[in-house]
Amino acid sequence: MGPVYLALLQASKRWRLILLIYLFQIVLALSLGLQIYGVLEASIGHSMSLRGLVGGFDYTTIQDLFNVHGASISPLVGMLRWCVISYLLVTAFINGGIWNIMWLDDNEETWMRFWQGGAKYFGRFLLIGLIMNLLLLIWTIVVWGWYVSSFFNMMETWFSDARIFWLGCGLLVVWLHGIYFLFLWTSYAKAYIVSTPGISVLKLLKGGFQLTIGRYIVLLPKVWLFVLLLLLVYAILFLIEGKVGITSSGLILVFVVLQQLIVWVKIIHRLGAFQFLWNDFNQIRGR
Amino acid sequence: MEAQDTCQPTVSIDPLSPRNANYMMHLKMDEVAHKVYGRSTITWKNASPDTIRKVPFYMYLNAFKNSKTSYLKPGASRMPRGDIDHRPQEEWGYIEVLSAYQQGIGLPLIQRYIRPDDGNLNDNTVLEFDLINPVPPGGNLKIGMTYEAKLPKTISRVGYAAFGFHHWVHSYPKIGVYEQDDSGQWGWNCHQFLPHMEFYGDHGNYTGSIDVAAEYVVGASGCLGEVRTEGDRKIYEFSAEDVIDFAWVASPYLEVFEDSWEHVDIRLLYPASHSGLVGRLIGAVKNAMRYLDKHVGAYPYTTLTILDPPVYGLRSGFMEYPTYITGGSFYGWPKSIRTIESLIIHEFTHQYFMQMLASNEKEAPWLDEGFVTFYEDCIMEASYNRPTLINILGYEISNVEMTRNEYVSLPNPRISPIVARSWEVPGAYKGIVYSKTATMLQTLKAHLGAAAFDQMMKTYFENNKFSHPRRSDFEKVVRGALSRSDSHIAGSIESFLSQTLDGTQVCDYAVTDIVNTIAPASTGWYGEGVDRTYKSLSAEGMVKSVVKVERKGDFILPVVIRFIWKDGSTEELVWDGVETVYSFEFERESELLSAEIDPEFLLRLDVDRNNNSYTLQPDRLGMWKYALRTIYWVQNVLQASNLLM
Repeated sequence: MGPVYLALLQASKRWRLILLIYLFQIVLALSLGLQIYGVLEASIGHSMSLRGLVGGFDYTTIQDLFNVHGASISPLVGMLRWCVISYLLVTAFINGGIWNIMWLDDNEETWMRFWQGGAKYFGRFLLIGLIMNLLLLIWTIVVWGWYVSSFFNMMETWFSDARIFWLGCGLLVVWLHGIYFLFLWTSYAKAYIVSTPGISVLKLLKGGFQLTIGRYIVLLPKVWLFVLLLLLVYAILFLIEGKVGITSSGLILVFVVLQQLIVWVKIIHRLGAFQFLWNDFNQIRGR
Repeated sequence: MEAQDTCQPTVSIDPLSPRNANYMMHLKMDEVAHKVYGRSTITWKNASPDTIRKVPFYMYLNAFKNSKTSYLKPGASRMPRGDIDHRPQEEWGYIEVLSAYQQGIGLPLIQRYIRPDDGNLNDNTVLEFDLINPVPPGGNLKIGMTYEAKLPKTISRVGYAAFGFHHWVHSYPKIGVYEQDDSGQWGWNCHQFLPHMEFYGDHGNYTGSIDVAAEYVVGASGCLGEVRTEGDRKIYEFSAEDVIDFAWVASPYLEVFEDSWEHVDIRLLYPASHSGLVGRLIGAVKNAMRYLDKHVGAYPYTTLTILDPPVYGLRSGFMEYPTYITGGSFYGWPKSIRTIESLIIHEFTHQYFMQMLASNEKEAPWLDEGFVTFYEDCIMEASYNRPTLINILGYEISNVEMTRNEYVSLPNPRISPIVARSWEVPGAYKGIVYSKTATMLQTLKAHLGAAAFDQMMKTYFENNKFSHPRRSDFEKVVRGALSRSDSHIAGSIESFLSQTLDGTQVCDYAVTDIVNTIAPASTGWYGEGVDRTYKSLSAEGMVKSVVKVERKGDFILPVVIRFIWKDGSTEELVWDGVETVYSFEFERESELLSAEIDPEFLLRLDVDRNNNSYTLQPDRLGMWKYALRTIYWVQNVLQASNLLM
């Protein structure tokens, strides 16, 4: 718990970074959320069916909305795609700034260092990010491609659906551990980028890979702890929402605050994970 | 216990049905070749005024004989062509009559395949015999025959699958129905097997034996009686009475769970991996039995066999046969998704609408699938907490909502009337036959009230059970019920029936605007004689409210409109709903706040519920709730998407 706690503590002190990341996210999310509001207002804004939405999920209201006004809603899906792409580019820049700050001084955080790091490492971070996402795509196809394409065949030729079910669960665990591997790899690769000026992409990928292999098992319990903490936060919100329900203006306000708190916690959580791996990297490198 | 020593298939010793078509069948299964060698004696009663010289038989297993049958030919079947065109030899099925003799006559009957529907020479799904001795009115026909039935690899519920699973459906020669058509003309009703075809047969008794390898577990329509072991074979005696069909399953790897409800022995066959689902399946079928017994009529059979197919036999699931139904489930199915309960309820309800009320499921599928869907929704509503069907992460759907949406979200809800024949509803069979019919019935129930509707359906059931009810039988009870009701659509019975059954009209009523203005001043003398009063220019405080309503669809039915004023007063008026645009005007001291067409949501066929109401005080909370939720989820998507960046 010690290193995890320390990393989270260090991350939580970087409130200006957290705020910046939060602002990027909320601006993009608002662009979609306000559009949704606009579509709802223009389509069923004067309908008394809206009461059903306050009370809970009203399938009839939602489906009739989609059936009749679907053409107004579908462009928002395309917009979400552009939001994600934009955010990936922004993230490459932000991560450059974050890792630069971690590299230069654990405790001193200045905007100058952030912007410098973002600009300096944007290209390489973007490249590493794209490579890792490509590997994730390949990994996903490798793990799930066979399962999905063989699913109907398995249904006809396997004796028990329990085996198909548990195979799926097993593959999910394998797939998640693969993502964990890629996360370690991309993080160590970034650590190499900031700590070893001029290192070639191949070398940093190789170094990150070797380090990931060496640390994969050692860090596994701690990373699971990170994941469990996050799941716990989600579960708490879900349980509260299930028990209380979002049925009045006061409750909507309370849940908006809670939801945004979770978004905030997740940013700290991600920064904490970076910090944790950076600390680990330094420990190995004897820095 | 695999079977009873004594077997009494119904609660009644007397016949429940006319028993026009009776079958004595001895079936021996070849587990390796996936064949049955059958010996049948069919006794048929001529209840018509005609002398019968030819007799057609359904040979529906031949629908799976080649890729150009009327069921499987390109353009007819929606199944993937790869599943049809690339079948190896052993995966095709067929049925052939090897010999057929009329009782008391030594010569074999002349047989030929006929194609009354489409003339397709590759289709052998109807076989006709020329009788040597014609059957006079009131006479009996007795035919003995031997036949060979070969199962295809499972297709459309019938066939064999891995691990010795055999599902015997449409697997014996079955006589057509000699009846009067709507114009009063007598004749055979025996269609070829076309897309969406299901059952149509006379009620009768099915008795005989099933001979299988000893390790096989057998489930069948009716009840199983004595079981004899002969070497490595087991012979099951079976008996089903007053039913329209017979189906059975044989598989070596099925567990058996037995339970009962009232007089009904429930026998569930399931794979070992589904042991965790047994309680849900049994609970669901008992809910259905309880509800239908109370709201429709009694279930007179003493048995019900449920097959919850193993995964390799899942293609045999989702179907109904007399006193035998098949479900569809999967290991680990979440409790918050009640599709497996809903399905079992649906299939059991067919014991009423298909089996006892044996309407022609080929020519009028709405009379069973639509009614069954309606009762499936009612039973789910009565038996489970809302949302009855799905409750995952705040996404909540009840059956009745899902059914309505299957109709209103059709790309073209005008594609077909409800009363279309089963093979004539292109691409929207479920949406129209199942869902629009069920939604029409919900509309009817809402207008009549639950008690009157139940009484109507009980009458329909009692008047028509063990016969072949038609549209006119249903219309008769609807007319009776609506004419006795005080519903505002009581005067529109014929319009309702013709629009919902024959019509393709779409129902969409809307309130499109509310305008409040200061009422025009009233000054001068008003009234006459002693009532004559002088009004000065003092109309302040009076508000003129104009409500614009529209009929956006072409379905016309009177609707109730509720008006609500700012001072809390309300008024309800009935609008005949005929005009495409209509305005209601009021002059009151208070402003009109809102207007709602059909506030109790009686008219479930309305395709857009959201435009039924208009308020000048919109509830922005709902909009904010979903906008903020969208913001939150977009934030989550963004955070998840950049994990590796």
